[in-house]
Amino acid sequence: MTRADKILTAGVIVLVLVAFFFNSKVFSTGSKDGATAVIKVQGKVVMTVDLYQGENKDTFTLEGKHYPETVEVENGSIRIIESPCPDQICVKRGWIDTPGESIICVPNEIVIDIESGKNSIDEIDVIAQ
Amino acid sequence: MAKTHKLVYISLLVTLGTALHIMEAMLPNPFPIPGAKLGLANIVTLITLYLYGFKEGLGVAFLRVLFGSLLSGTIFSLSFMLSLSGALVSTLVMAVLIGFIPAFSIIGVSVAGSLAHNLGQLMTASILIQAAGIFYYLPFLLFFSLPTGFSTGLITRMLLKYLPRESRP
Repeated sequence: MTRADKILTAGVIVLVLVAFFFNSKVFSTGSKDGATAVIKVQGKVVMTVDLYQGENKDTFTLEGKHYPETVEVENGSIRIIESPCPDQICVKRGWIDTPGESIICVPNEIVIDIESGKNSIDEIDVIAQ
Repeated sequence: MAKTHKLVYISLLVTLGTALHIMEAMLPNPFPIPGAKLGLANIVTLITLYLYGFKEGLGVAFLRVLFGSLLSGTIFSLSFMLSLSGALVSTLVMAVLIGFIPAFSIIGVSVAGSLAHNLGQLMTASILIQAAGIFYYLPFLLFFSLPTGFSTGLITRMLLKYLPRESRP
């Protein structure tokens, strides 16, 4: 290790810290802002819910393929609170609020995806080689 | 004679690089984030740069990505583009450091190459996927290029001791 090497290493560490700081500023606030919940039944979009539209609190009934489910929206999060399906997996999934997360009810063919407009990091789905 | 000597050496280096490239693709990712990897194939590029120079280094880097992707079946896919851009950018940066800034040791050059590799890859990825959000990975990748660059640099330094200097043209 020469002096130049050490300077480079130190420079990188500083850069990493700055980048982490930058990341927490840009992405964590930016990604959840304007998040939308896209609700699909049998592959078709039936409803989009704007999360983060102020202090919203809403409960509504969603007609699935076989039976209705109850969906709750509160403070930028969405969840299924009640479903007559046997496994209750969608209910146990709980609240979701981050782009890329989803609730999927297989028997009733309901999919709720959180999507975001800008700065979305949910599109990163490749493995670099 | 020297020409044949060089031809054989370069061929061996390309072969070695291809083998490392494929082997590395088979290894499970040792890091918690996708995209980070050990960069074993970079050792070969680095050796070529030190033994021969920029032109040969670039050639070896290009050929090992080409053959490695051809053999692992990822050619012209997104991962091929990422590999290629990373390899070419890092070779370029390492060659510049070796040629013009003698203050850096092999380890420093290797770390810089590793950084350049990740940066080049990330830029290509952001252009190809059209998602600026991918830069979220930047600090993670930069951070992991320190240990990987350091270790490949160390391995290269050890290897260069055993490689005959007369293999220079």
